[in-house]
Amino acid sequence: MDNDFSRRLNETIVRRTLPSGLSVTVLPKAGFHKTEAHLAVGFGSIDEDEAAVTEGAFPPGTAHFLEHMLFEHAEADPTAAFARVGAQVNAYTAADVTDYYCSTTEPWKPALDLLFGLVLRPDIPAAGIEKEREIIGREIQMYEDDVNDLIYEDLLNALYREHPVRHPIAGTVASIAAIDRGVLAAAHAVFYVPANMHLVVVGDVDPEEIFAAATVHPALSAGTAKPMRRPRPEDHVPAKTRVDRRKDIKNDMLMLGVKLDRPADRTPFANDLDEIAWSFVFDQLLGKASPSVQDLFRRGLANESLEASAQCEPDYGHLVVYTETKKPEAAAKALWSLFDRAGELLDPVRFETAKRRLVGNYIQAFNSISALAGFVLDYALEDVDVFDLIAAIDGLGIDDVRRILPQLRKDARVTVTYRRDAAPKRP
Amino acid sequence: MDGYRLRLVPTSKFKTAYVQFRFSAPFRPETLNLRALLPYVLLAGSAAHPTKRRLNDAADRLYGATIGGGVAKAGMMSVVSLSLAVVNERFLPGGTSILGEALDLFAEVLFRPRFRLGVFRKGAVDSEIRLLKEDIEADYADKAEYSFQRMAEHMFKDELARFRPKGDYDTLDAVTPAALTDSYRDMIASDFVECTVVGAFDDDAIVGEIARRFAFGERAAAPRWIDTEAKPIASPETVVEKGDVSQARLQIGWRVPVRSGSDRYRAMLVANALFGDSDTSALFRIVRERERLCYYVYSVYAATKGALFVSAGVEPGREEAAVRLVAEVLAGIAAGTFAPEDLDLAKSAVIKRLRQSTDSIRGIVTDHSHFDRHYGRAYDLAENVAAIQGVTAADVAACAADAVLDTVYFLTKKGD
Repeated sequence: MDNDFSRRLNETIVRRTLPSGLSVTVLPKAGFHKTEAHLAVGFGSIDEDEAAVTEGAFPPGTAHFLEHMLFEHAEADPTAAFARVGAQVNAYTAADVTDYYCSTTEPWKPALDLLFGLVLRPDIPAAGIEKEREIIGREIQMYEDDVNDLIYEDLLNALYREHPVRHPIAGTVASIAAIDRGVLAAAHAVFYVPANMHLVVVGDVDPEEIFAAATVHPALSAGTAKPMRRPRPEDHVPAKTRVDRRKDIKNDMLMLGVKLDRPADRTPFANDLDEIAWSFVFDQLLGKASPSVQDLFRRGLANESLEASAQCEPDYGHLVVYTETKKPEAAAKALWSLFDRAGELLDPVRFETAKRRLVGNYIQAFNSISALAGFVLDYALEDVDVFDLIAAIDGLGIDDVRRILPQLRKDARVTVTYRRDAAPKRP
Repeated sequence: MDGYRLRLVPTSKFKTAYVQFRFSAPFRPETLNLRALLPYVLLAGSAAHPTKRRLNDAADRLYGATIGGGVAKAGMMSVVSLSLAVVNERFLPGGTSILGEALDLFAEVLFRPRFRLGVFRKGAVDSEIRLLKEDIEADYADKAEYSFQRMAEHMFKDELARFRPKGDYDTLDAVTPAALTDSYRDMIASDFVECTVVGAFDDDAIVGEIARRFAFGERAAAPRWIDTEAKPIASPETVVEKGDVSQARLQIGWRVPVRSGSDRYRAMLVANALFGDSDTSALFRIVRERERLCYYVYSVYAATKGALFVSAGVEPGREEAAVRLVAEVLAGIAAGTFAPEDLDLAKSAVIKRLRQSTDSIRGIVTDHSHFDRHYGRAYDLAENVAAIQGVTAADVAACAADAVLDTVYFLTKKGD
């Protein structure tokens, strides 16, 4: 998986699929103290159903509940077991993945063995389910106090009519009430199989030693085939075009969304390039070096919180623009009008500058073990070669960016506003 | 180096060349807002790149070089920092050379601000005041951050630590371009200046490149890196406030006599890890896992101030029980009732943190300046690790026993 870019960087990524079906990606980093390992399972909130009544369907919050349960042991506390070998362990659940990861500055082998044991344990205990339900309930409650989470949840809920990305990853207090041991054990049996898992290791390690350790681990026997993810595409028309709420905040919050087309024949590589093409559009329209942002700032419509991102997945995709503002109506109007004029605002000179900046960012991504592990995992999950992708950026032209602009259509747009609910108080 | 303290950290671990300048002056309420705004106004345009947009475009052309800035309080000092991060040119295609240009741009931002009639432009200053105020407003939405600030305002009401170095919301509008310009000139002329350089380079060459562009006059600055302000505590104070929260936020503050540079500093680090700042800490195991009183609970040791804080998210109605249990856990450590294994795990957590700190540029800068400021010598990881290993159970218990409860703060649900 090497090319000119990797050779110039003196970096390599070694990838292998083991007989068990487990995919393993190793990025050796000589001289670093920390080794980080991620064992990621292809199971997330998009594999769940809001109306989980059919056979084999999982209620919202199942993937996240299962993640919690794997840390639940009657006798041995996994966190302490990792700590005893000088490692830290943690996990998170996202839309498309449940990721268990650990890091250590001691020899990596004991920590990696513990990680396999944690994720591939043979049984889901009945004891502890109620305790975890209570803990997750409190976690959901904590998210309810986080307006930055809430506004994004509201946006997803408005953008999608059916697609499961519209429900919160942790589920709701009502949806997790329906999760019992049977549901958790069934999900574990279907998704937690080597063929549906990826191991990523970044650190001062020898890739062959990692492959050997992962090959002989007893929990990693070849078994069930990888479960197919059912695509659930929907058209570009949002469920709602506006959401307006009052919150206990000091400055109004504005989030805009555009729902994208996801043609079924796009490869993950093409989707990644689409995300990069959108990042160039955002650079020109909303970047720190764009004349339009200078104007938004001058008019007091946006501030440093302004950010934009694109997500292009196989069966769903959207753009998100966020800013805090004192004038949400005027700010939304100005931002939508930038989208309407995107074609005329593209500047070929700035496009080349933005490409340079992106290359510089990719090079500097190789500074940090944790950032690299996350970055390598994202691409490993899609089976995309990072170095090929970086090479492809070089070949992108401004016409590739123009090509995607028609998707900024008016009937795909959602505006979410959180307004401050009282006379401004002192913060 | 002329007028400043230079620290070189040669390493080939990173793809980045990094240069940071820190300007330190005594922390004073009168200059708080000026120093909070200074880095941002400098980053809003220079003589040659007169707007934020032009400056950012120039940096982007250098393969996404970033020039950043900020302000902090360290001990009794206000510290303004400005830094340059630029990709190491050896990784660029076709032998492109950018380090010299990037250093030029950095020096331009630092020494040649855009002035009109000898002062910063009013438009740029007003714009940065608005942005900073909106940034402070945004902190209100973060209930953990907000409740910590409220606790600090009570606990430190007659001390400098009550101020947020980020800026004072109510008085920011009073900042004038003339005052800000005076503050800038003071900073360049009389602040204590430190420069830290991290990257893969030839020592002599980089020293020459830096010296050629960055020179400061001689100055007699004696920075005080320890905050020695304290107050007599007759009995701890409890403050309860109501807000729009579904989970109550609890903040507890203690005074501790051990500060950075002290013989007992390492023992205090281990005590803090054992108490609430690690995966296997007593607070996590007892308060969260065993008693399920909090969704999150952790402790923070503020070493230059001599304070220990606990932050927790608690179900409304169970706040008192949580405070009692946290206090019991600390008393248990003070009584030495922890297992030898717990002590080993706490040390191992601290050592892991020290080691992995050398894997990031930010960690390296922090460790090297901390050692230099408080011990007056070059950073030595092995020495630091050995010192942690040498901490005894009695040292840790003594650190916990010396903590004096000062303030308990709750932000809880309205209508309870």
